[in-house]
Amino acid sequence: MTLTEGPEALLWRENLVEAGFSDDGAHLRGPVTWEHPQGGLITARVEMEAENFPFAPPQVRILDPGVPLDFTFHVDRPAPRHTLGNLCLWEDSWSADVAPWLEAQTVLDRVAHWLRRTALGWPGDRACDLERYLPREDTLVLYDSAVPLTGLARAKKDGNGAVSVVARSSGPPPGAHQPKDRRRPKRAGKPPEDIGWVWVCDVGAVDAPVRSWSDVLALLGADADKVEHEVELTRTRWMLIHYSRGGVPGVLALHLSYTSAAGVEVRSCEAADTSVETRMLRAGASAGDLADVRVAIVGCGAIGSFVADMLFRSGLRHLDLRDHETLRPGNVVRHVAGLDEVGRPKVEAVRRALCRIDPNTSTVSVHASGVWTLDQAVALLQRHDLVVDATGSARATSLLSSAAELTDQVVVSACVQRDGDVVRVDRMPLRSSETYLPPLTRDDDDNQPRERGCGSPVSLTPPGAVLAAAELACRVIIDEVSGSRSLPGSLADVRQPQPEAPFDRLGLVSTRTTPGSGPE
Amino acid sequence: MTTLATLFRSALSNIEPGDDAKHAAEAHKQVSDAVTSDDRLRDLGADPVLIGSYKRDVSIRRVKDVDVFVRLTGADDSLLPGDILTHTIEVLEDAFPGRVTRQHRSAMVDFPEFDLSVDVVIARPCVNHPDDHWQIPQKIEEDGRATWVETNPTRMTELKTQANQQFLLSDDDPTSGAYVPVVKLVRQIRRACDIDKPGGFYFEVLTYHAFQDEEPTENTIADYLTAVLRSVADALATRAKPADPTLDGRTISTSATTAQLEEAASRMAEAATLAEEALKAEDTCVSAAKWRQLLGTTKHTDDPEHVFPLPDFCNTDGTRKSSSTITRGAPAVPAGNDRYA
Repeated sequence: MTLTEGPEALLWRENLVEAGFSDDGAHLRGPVTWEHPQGGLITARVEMEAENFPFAPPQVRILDPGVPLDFTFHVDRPAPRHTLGNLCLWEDSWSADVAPWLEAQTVLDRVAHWLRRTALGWPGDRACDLERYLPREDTLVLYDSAVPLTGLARAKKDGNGAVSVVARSSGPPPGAHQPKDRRRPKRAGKPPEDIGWVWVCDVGAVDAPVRSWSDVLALLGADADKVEHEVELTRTRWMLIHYSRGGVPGVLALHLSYTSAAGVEVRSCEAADTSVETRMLRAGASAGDLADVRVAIVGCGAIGSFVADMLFRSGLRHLDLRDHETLRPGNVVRHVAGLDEVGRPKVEAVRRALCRIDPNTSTVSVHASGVWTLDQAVALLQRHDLVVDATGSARATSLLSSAAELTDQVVVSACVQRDGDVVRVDRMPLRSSETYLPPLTRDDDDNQPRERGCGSPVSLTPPGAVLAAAELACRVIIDEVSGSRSLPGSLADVRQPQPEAPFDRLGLVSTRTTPGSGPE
Repeated sequence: MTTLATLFRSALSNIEPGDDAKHAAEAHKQVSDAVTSDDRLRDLGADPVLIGSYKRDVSIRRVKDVDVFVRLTGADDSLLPGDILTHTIEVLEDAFPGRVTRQHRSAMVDFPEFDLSVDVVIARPCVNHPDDHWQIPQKIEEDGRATWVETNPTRMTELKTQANQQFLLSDDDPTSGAYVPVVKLVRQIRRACDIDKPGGFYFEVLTYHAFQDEEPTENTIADYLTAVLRSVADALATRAKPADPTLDGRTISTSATTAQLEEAASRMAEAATLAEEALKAEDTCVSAAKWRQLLGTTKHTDDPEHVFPLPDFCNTDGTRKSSSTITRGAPAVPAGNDRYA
């Protein structure tokens, strides 16, 4: 199906034609008036394409700026077989109905602004995107900002094709930048390959893009001759340049290849920081508060494994995992661990899953046993800030509930009910004047399937309900351990309405929303 | 003003010869091979060359016939056109048995597999201007004699190139010539108006003169076409024979009758008015419907196809469809811009 352009795109083009642009149906070409800082009003000539309008901004290229002008930042490299690069007018993603480029005049104003900023040298610009001005190479270069390096370092390529920059004396990566953890699982595949030297340097503030090898050498200052010699000997084939723009730090990773005929060819690579600080940037606002909190999870099956995973991702590092069962193939579709962990104790399978998020699991302890006695439950509560009951076992829950009453320490109990129609989390003990939601009785179903060779019937709860329960539990846990304590003693997410009130309506139910429940 | 440049681009794409171009090239090659493999024709310096609208890149879908000009570079005024045409037909008949038809001054070779034919015209260097142009037989008598008329088909190709470089959509782009696209559109409008005579070349020459006389400077094909159509219609209305751009002092002749010329003038005047209305229309759908009416459907194709695409949000009568079916992406993001996934 071939779609014609929408009305907004056709009108946009007509408006540009009225503004003096020619239109051959693919390219629009015409004048843009802009104010030069010294030269006053100047008329430039530009070329536009609007292939994905209005979902993407028009691609704009400067045919003639009207006055001599060096293009520096915010312009892409020309596409293959083209001489002009597209201006970077809008970096952000916009919804098509409110995008600023919907108005032709706004585009012309934006181009005029771009020209003026270029003439001014982009004062105060903070875009750290030097890689866009060089030919690209699809290699991810990893470095650890917590381990500052300068001068020569080693480059090691892992099985995924990523290149790690490690200290000269470093042992084989990966993990050279990670705290040592002997229990970290071995990685599959070949060990990282040593692929030569990396020149690492910090050039400070840059005021022009890097477009060529000579630009790179200009940045290196007094080290230029030395580095060029290294590169021409083909010993140093990578470079990591720390720089800043408008006070914001950036990193440019380069791959260098030398031939006597062509000289040094330089390509930019995507660079990524492996430091814990960077890896935890996306862990949420409360990640810092959770780092020293101690939580035990009793039951590392479906819900418990995902609770452990989410808490670990959220920044909680002191975890005590308890479960006496072994991971079976049939568990995997509702478990954080994969088929490759089948046969291991569930707690170990979970810990190994956590290693894939952060290899440092030195503060995660595992115990292939359950909580069978009140003494054990009390001891567990006394050693932790909070205990999660993800057992799905009335016996274990009653033990932990009693221990919570005895110690006044918090237990958060999570479960799925009615085959996933309701997920529920209760916090114990209740605080003053709190009440619990009423219990839901079990629907006995004689037709529940049983796994061959395994006595217990298999719950038909879908994986989504497991994740929903784990997520609800994590909300309550983080609310509690972060000191917020704003959530009620019971929370239920009704995914399919049940006959019994208050579970007879869709959505989140708590004692606060339940008619007739007392104020908390 | 509604110029709908992207839709004109599609319209031009819809009348491109497409496969016909490949077939024409292949048919030309086969005919050339046959002609140049004959000893007598080779001794006469036979040098076949494509001419006509296909050669000038102004042909439109579908191309039903192409012209091959067999230049006999070694021929002099003793050459009897009837004799050499008879010989050429024999040569072609050997190569294409049962597919050759003698016409009053040429031979037509049928290519049924391509659904097109090749007209083979013999030519000798002009007796008076041997370096400038050529002569072809006007009508061959039974005794093989004929009068020769001057022609310069390759000059029209040169003039086409010059005009396409002169009349640009944008001075920034020397490849943005408007002349060739407009000639194609005028040829299509002639077909859409069901004008049999005068033929396509006659309209091409009128278009050439319109560009030379009006010297339009426009930003879109719609603007150029509108300006040129009015000039072509006015020229037809005068019923004066247009000057042959390739030969000084000559005019282009047509076998059209006076009635046919009057009919053509009337149809083109209507077409020019329709183009002016389409250009002037404020509403996109109203404009698009008029352009669509003006450019009609493809001819000689299996199924007639509209040349000018109608925007998805327009009805064929120029009204708009209900907004719910047309606003792709709007409102595009119910949750707003503060989203992460």
